Amino acid sequence: MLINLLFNGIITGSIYTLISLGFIFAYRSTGAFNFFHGELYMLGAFSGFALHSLLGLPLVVSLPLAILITGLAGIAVERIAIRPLIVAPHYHVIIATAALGLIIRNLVLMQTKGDAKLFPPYLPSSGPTVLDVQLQPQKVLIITLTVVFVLLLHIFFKKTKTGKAMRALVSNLKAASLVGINAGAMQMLTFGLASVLGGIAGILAAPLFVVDAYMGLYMTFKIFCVAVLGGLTSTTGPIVAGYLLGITENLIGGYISSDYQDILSFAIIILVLVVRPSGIMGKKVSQKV
Amino acid sequence: MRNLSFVVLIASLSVALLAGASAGDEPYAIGFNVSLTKTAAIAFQMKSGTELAIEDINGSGGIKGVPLKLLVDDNKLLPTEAVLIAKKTLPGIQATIVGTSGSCFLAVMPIAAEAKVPIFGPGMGTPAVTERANKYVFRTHFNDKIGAYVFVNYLVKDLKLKKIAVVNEDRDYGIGGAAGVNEALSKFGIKPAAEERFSPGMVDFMPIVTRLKRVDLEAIALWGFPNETSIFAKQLREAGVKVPMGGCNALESDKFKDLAGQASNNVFYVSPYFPDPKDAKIQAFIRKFEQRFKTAPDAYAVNCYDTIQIIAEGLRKAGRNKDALRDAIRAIHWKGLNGDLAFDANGDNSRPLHIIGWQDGKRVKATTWDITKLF
Repeated sequence: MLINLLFNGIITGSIYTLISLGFIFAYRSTGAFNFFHGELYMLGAFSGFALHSLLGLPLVVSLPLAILITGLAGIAVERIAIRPLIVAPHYHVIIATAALGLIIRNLVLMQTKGDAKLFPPYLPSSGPTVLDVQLQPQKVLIITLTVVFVLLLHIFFKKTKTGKAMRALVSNLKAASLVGINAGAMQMLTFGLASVLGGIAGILAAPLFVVDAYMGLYMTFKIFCVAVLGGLTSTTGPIVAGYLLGITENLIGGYISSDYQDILSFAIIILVLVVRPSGIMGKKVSQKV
Repeated sequence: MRNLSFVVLIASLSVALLAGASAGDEPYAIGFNVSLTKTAAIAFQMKSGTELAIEDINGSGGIKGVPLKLLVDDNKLLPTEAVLIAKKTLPGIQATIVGTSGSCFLAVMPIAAEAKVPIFGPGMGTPAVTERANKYVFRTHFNDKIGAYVFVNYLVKDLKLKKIAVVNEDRDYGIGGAAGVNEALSKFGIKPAAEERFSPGMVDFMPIVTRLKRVDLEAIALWGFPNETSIFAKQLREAGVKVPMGGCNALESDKFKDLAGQASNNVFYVSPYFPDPKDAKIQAFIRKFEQRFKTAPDAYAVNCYDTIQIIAEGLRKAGRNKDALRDAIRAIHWKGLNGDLAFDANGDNSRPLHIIGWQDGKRVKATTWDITKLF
């Protein structure tokens, strides 16, 4: 049983990591807590479903198109709710993005009428069993792609000019603009990237579960937990925290009771904020006054 | 002089005709106090079955010439709203249908009793509604607790299984169902092999599935709604647990079958309704319904159709006399589409229940259980 729980924890952790990475990028490039981000997970899944099952487009078209839609949605949110409020107090952005999230969730709810929908499977559903673990192709894909993306992002940020520019922006917005980095374009790019990650997470996870209007809201709580646990100032933080949360949830669900699975993420948020607000990997940040 | 008497004649004839007409022609009003918005799919089926029955009855002359009229209200699944509607409409109607949640029905019950209006639940499975000694309550669906008893009897007596796990959602529906299953199991002297609970909205059942895999299981009693039970079924089957499971009526829905796909095989539900291809009466009804409403009827539609027929029969015998109507309905033995309906003192009916399984997307009847022969 342990190995099954660990395997499943790694799968869940991968999804949490993919989405949370996007959230952290967005936060660090704009300082904005984007409460719309969780909905990108839902939007990716719903777009994939709608394009294929409602509009009849083949999967090779609907999946990339769904990712594109998600990316564009994220950029739109940045333009509508984040950029105009950049000088306003933080909670303005939180409320604005949460409101947009509410709108998109209800638009989807109107379409689905509260019914869950089946996401079109794009991989066979059964795989070889190794060490008592069923290696379903979808699950293997999730782990593989998460590792690939994390590596690609690492290379992107460390080796490419754009990546370095983004890091500069995140580190010090004023200084970055002074050396000629186009802050506006960079922020848009960061948001696009973050949203694409969120959408991909949705498309990867949906075949394992169902497409449902509330799946984004559910994920928002997890994102928050991972962000707080991993520390908002760290890039490796969300990765460690994402997997830690996924594995712990499954171990608790398996050995104690599934009743406590969801409570865990909330308990962690409270505990971390009380004991170590900068998170397990974050640096203690203080501002000179 | 002749003109005047002619006018008087016409006038008095008109008055006589109008008086006669108004006394006899006022339709019998039936209330429809259902959640049209929050439970749109169920409400659609219920309303369609009701409307079809009323059309059929009015089409063949009504009740001794008096037509039936339906008063439709949306209670938005809120007990407070259902009560407001009841207070407004009950004084002027002969009988009412209330849905879609137990709490709405329970809230309206005392008002119906005070107004002496029979209240029907064609979609009402909540056991509590027939446990309040309310003489005006008539359940034309089946009692969920009895449904649980029936499913356990099927597993234990017919399939000779003993190692049964109970998996349920943690809202009223699931908790009530699990309680019924556990009661039935204890009557057989059996303890559940495992007990698991899930929350609405849950999508990751792997911890539950992993735990169930380690238990020596022969069957699973499952109580929840399609959004969750379909994923549970999929993840359970993928993990290699193939035992028969099911029991709750919510698994009857096409939504469950569509979401679960192949995982719906070997999943059973209890229902008074089985669209038997060999039953000419049911097939004729299905065709008529499909032609009128462009979709197949489900148990709710059929229950509503039978309900209206029963109300009509009561009205035929008792007219507008409230006490007589209530007593007439209780004395009815109705050969409905959904089996023979007769009410006991509590308002429950003794219709046999079918246990139906999903097999490759089709409903296959496993057996029919006489609910007077339990345990």
